[in-house]
Amino acid sequence: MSNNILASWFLWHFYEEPRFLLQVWRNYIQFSIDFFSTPLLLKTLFSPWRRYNWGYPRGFDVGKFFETLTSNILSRIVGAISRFVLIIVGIVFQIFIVIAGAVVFLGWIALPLAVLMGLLFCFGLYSI
Amino acid sequence: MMGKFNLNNTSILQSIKWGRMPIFRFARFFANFFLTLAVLSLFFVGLSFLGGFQFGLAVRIVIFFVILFIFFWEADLFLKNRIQSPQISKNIEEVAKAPGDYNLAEFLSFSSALIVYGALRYCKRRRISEVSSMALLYAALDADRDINVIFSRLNVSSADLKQDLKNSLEKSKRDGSFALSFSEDFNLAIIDSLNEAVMHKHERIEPMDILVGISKAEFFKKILVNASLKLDDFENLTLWFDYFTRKIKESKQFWSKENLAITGSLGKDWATGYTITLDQYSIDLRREVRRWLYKAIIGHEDEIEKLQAALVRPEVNNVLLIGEPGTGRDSIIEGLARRVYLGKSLEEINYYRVVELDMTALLSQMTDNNQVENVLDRIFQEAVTAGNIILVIKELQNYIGIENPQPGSIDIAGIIGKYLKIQAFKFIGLTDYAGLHQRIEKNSSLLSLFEKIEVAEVSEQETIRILQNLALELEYKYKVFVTYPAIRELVSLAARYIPNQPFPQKGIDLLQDVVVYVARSMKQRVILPEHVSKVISTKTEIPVGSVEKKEKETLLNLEKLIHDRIVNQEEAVKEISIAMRRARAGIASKKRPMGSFLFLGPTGVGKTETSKALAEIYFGGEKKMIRLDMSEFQAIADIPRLLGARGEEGLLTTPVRENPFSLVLIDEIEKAHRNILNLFLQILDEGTINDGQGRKTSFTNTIIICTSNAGAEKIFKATEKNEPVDKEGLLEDLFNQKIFRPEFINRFDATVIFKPLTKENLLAICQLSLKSLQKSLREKDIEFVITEGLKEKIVDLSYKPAFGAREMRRVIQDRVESVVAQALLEDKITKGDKFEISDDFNLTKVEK
Repeated sequence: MSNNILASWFLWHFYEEPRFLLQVWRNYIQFSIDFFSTPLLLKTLFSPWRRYNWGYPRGFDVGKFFETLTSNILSRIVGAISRFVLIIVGIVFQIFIVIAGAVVFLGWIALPLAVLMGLLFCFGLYSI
Repeated sequence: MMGKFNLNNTSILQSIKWGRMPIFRFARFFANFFLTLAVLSLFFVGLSFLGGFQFGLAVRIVIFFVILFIFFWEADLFLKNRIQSPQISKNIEEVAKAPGDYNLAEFLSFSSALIVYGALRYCKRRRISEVSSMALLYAALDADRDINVIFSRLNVSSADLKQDLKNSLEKSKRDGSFALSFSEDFNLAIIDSLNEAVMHKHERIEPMDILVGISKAEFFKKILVNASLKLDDFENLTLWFDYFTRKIKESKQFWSKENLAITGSLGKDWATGYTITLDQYSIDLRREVRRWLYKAIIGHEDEIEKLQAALVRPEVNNVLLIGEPGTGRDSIIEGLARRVYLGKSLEEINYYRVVELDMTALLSQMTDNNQVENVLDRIFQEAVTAGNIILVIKELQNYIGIENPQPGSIDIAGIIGKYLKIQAFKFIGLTDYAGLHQRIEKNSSLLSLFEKIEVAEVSEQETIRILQNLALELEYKYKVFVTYPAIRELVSLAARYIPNQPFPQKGIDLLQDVVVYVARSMKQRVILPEHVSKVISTKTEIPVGSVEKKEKETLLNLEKLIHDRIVNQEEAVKEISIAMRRARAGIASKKRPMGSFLFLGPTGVGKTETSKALAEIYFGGEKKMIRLDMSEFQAIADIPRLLGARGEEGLLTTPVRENPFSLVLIDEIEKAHRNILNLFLQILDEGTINDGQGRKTSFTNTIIICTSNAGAEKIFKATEKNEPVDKEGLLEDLFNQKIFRPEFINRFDATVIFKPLTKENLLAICQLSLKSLQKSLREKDIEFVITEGLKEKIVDLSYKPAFGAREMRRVIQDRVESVVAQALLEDKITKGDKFEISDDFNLTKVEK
């Protein structure tokens, strides 16, 4: 560790903490991927809703057959709509995480500058 | 190899110096202060809208305070994240391999460096020439709050200890100048703490490592002895405390992967099926395990690993978890549920739901078994269709192999059998050994669909760790403080006095009992070892707390105590006493029974009476005697009666399981079948035997006495000739006659010969028996005068050498007690009377 506290602070503020923030950012992105499981939702997009599936009747019964077919198609449609909504919510959330992460990350980097500008502003040496 | 140690010019010392700068010392205070001001100054902004203040100035004031807040907040972060943990050049694992090559002070954590720095400053100030490990402990107590917590958990007063250390340090060698040298025990403590840090995978040497390092120093032994502690206790406690603080720290890191994963996965849930019926009759263990803070499954890691592997097998992926209730079967399921929930299990079962089907709730709501079967079928179908269910049924044996099921009971073997073959159906059944043997094994085709995993009992050390975690919950709930010595005492006493129940459950139950007892009846809510003894005494009816002291007194006076009840037999009593002292002085194996004796001698000479006396002296009463007559166990077919069988309790094992502190009296041992004698070989040797239901029965807290009349003739002959009985010769005869085998006799702590009674002995016995009657009458305020003539008449009537003193009891009953009873009923003798019985058994009143 350098004996110079300023150099030490510089290294910590611009290297170590940003690296930590990137790690936290990655954890949140990973969490949102796991929470929404978008790839899995896409893979099972047209699967029946909550696996509700009815067996087709044995023998020849057109009415029953079409009734089951309709139910199964309906289950798949409900499943697709629900998952599609969740996929959209998931994507929006992930975009939010990415943006929020970027804001925090860049905000941290720019914090000393912001403090300096704030001080200048307070003492009337800088105006917005 | 001794390491170098010099705190000067190290980065950690630099950190300490920086940390003492006011800007960092008061950073947190100023951050909070300016944040408050920033919020308050918003008032000026509001005021400016009303024209009461200049807007530009108001904004500038707010920004100014915000900037100051940011400045101090960042200073505080910089202190914690950077100054207090400067980077180190080497991994301490490498350093530990060659400590002599490094300056070990470089590898101290900030808190540890503060302790060392404190010790240096103290020695310098007091002009103590060498910095010792004692000074280090003094500084540790001064600087580190956690170390004080450790000592309070050990029930050692930190303040008193600090004062003692200060007094000792004041007596240390002093020098005019402080040379910054370290004593040998200081260096050893630092090396030990380095190794400790490596063992616990710490990045740096932490205060707890230093504490363990110091604990090996010579002066510390006295502290441990004074507090009745062992070095192991200290290491256990610091290990647990280290784990606990780490868990608390981790739980606060909301951004960590593990803490974020607690929310679960909505997407994965939506890709699976609903389990509407199952949800009505089940407990989703996700809810139970998601909020675990510091709870951990201790001692069952192997079983959880095996369970996971079995659940992902391509063919049979159903598990039968076999273990006695209380061994931690439920905890294994919870451990699995936690891993699966956090996605830390195997890929194939990650994010599954571990669901416990509540069969009791299901059966209590339906009376018709057909209806139950339909619901179960639906539940199992849902579990398959959902695609993310691991189904658990506890006490599976209660629902398998039931003959003639009544309402409230059902045999589910048929329904579940067809699902167990389906790969998507993942099932865990919990059972015990008795249930496995009695019910499940009968259905071999069903059994073949399971992988069996046996649950081992956790060790005493593991139980201590489990109880330490539990103690925290109980402390919070009941507002008590559980000291570590109390927990250690609890585990040790539970192991000794409740041997037939498994750990950890018996420990958990006891701790809860002790906590409730202290919370309700004690003013000072600190749980100490004596509180544990008290609760165990009440529970087991054994005077636990004073057992050591009382036992010592008993052992030293054993001859006298036995002779209070037994006449003659000096040699036998002496031999028993010597053997008991030898067995209980801590030299003998703790696994074997407390004492084991073979009493040889004719009938009625005091063998049983001696056993009763021993039961009373040692276990506090004759009711603590388990008596079996081996003439009833002369065939192999009698073994199940002795050890128990399916649906049958054992005449030997069950009473011992229920009363582990007992005297087991086995009469007429020579009549037992050879194979039964072999069973006793195991009991005498190992101290345990498995009963007919597969349960381990411990005999380690019993005294086993076998009696036999074998060789009585030889004893009679020797006595008639007034010669001492040749024990070796007698045993040789018994071996030759194949009554006993040498290996059987050798298992006993002592073979004791009881001699026939002489007329003089019988007179003394008569006196004892009549005294007992005298005592009962005295309670009615009636005085019974025992005359010599009466005693001699009784002995004359009952003296038959072949029957010993047994006949005397009958004579006293028939001739004396019946006369007294008659007189009492006819009011011939009343309260305040004095009487005697003549040698022709006539009752006459005596004037007072």
